[in-house]
Amino acid sequence: MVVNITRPAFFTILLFLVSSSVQAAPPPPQYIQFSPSATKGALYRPDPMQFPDSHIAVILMHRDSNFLSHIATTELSKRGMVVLAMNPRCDNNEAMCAPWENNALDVKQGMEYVRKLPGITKVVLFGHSGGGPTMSFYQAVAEAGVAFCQQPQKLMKCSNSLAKLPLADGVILWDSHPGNGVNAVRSINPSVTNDAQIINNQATPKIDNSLDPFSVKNGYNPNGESHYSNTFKEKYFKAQSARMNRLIDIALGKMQQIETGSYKYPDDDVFIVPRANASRLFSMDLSVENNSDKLAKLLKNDGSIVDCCIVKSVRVAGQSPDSNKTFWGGTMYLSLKSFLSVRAMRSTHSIDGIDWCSSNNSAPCNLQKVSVPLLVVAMGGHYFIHDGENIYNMAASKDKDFIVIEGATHGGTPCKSCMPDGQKYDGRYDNAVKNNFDYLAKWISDRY
Amino acid sequence: MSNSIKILLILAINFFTTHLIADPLPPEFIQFTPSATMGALYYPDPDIYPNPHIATLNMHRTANRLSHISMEEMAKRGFVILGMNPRCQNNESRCIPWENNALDVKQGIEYLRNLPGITKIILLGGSGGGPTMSFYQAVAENGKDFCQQPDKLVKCSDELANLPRADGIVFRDAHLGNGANALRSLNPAVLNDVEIMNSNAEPKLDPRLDPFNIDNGYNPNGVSSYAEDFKETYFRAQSDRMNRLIDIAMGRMQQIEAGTYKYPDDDAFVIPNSDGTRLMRLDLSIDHSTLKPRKFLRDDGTIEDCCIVSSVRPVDLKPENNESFWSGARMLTLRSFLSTRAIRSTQAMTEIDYCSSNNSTACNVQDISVPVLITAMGGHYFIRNSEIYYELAKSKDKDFIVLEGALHGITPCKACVPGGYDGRYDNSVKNYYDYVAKWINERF
Repeated sequence: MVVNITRPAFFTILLFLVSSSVQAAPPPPQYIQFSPSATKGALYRPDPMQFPDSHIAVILMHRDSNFLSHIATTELSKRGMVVLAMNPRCDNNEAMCAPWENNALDVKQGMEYVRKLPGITKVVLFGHSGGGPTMSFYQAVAEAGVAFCQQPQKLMKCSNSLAKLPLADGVILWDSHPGNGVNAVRSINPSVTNDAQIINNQATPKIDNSLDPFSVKNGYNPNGESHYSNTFKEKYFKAQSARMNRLIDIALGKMQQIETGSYKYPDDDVFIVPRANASRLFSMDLSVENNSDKLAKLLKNDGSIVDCCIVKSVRVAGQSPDSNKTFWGGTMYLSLKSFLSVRAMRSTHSIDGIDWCSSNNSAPCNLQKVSVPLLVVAMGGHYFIHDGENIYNMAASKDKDFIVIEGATHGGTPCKSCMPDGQKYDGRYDNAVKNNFDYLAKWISDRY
Repeated sequence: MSNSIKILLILAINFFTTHLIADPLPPEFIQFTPSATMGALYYPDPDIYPNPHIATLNMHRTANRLSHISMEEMAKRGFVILGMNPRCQNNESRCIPWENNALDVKQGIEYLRNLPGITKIILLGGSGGGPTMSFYQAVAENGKDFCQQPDKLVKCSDELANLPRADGIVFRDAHLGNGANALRSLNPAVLNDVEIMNSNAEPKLDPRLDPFNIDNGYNPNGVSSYAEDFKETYFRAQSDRMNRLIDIAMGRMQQIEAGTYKYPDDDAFVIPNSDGTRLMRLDLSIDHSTLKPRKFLRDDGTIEDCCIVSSVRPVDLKPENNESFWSGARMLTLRSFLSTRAIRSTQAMTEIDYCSSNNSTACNVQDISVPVLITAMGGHYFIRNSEIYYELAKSKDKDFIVLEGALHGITPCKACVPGGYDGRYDNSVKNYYDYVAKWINERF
């Protein structure tokens, strides 16, 4: 059919349509309901005037945090991508990750949804923080099949419902950590000696003072950066692994009783671990996990990229002992299944003796099975730089990239507290967000 | 295709999708604070309702309301509707305290008041949204002193001062309160709560109070019939158990305040055998009907107002529910238990101290003056609950109606028809929202 439009008619129609469209730019985020009811999404579309032919969709999801208004939603849609932000079935409730592996069924729904959007030909998964294990797990199972997450060494095996997940075309890990179990083993207070009594009988924790991270005798400094001796650190990291292994054994023992029908409940039980959080030694001592091992790319605040040097975090040390003693800040309040699935990881040393593939919730393990292009971004004002480097090193993708964003917080914004000697913030990291997402957009558009 | 034609086509598609084809408009995601508090805004079709002036706000204690059936049904009838989830969405243990959910309702009201053309706001409280919305409005009308009275198990914070008022409330199969629900759902046969709470002891059950004991009247194959003596003993024992639990939790809170507890802020409070033993779900002689003749909205759209209204629900409980962790135990904390799931009583059915908890529709409606519509579902077990707080409601303009054959979620109760469903309740959703829309439009 040939359409002939006269010039005045063309401009009249154009004026009418432009005036109506301009008012709607960019469209507001659209709420999308998935199943079960707790699984939710918000769809962000780019301004159709600027980006009339978006063909790339990005999916964001965390383990339990709300990502429906994550900073990437607006920053990526501003740059021409369709963004589907999702919250999984254990939204706002880690104990309901029973098991966490089923969150992959929520990513799957998101994949199927965006693949059906008109014009979308490529889908990239975006994993921020705990979204890293989430998205790497999804893609590993999509590429390697359900057998991958049912291997004998996994503390929790996935169900067959994870078979035949649709593949994504790329993965971005954005200040991802290696896994929630790794975080847990590194955050646990290893000075607790009576876990069996605590779990079984609600005993009050007994503390071995020689392992107390908040003891001045051990190197703790309540007024600034702590300095622990190498001997203490080594002992501490091994003791963290030992405590985590004890907890795993207790939980697995109870699960075995459930399976044999000899437990007090037929399905699951509460699993409460006091002093389980806020004892991460590298939050207090900057000699631990503060920089890359090798030369790495650093995206500076002026937009330039230097690729010459070991990259060091600009974060500031400091951790009050109070949080570890509280219920809400220091205690794991989970169930047996959610603990084993989300917060458990086998190890012999919490920093460098991790059995990466003992848990499905493990980006370094999962990425060994992922072949699509991978971008690993670490924030230069946080403590996951070395984790990011490690994830990058272990990844199987032939097309992979690793970069650190100068002075960015874990959430991507400028780290205003990352100033030396208590100086006032002077704007030195103000371009962190723009630089970060410009880099992401270029990485995506270069490939898709 | 030439570039000019391409541009026109793109713009035309955009125009038609946003203005004409989008019938109704897609829901807009709205972020509130803290991060867990969120909303979805639904607008009526602008071609049919170009100037909506009434907004409705739907929120539950923990459940997801962003795609609740009311969103589309109310928008279809010309109302703007904001579905909200509060800060403890999907996680009751995070209702610490539940009273702070009112700060989320407040944000919703402020948001809606700022929308162009909106002059009236109606709160929709379904199920656990009933205590939520009645609490909000009671505090908005009476000030924070209302929720800081000495007899409340948890007192609200001063942040709840000066809440903006709504103009009316529609209760949809709301219950008396989550504490009252918890009380009536407790298995009173458990004897050793102190040992359970203090040292993870296994529950010890008194077989004389076991609701699943055939000797007590339980029928595993149908409707159970418990003796009046058993029922009375059971309901009193439920109150006794709830009072014991409250005393344990209050004792720990006192230790926290004194700085002598193992944690300085809160603690887990896990109650086994605390759900799945509501006797009225086993024995249809309990709370099955209104006490007085009430309005009844029949499936053919007519309203009868002559008779006592009975539920058509079947019995639906199995002992397995009560025995499992995820369906029979409550995973709370001291603060969320006292705030959400605790209420004082001496008999679970007839002697509840409604005003011992802020989470109490029956208490809150006594201090609300705006128009209220109370609706109960004829295929569920909250008919009598609704009648109780209808009678207690202070509002001069109040209405109560039961919807024939509807489930708690308004849809037709297909299991309510012995021998197989025959379509007899197919109009429940339409009838319900037509009635609600008419009630609102006549007043606002």
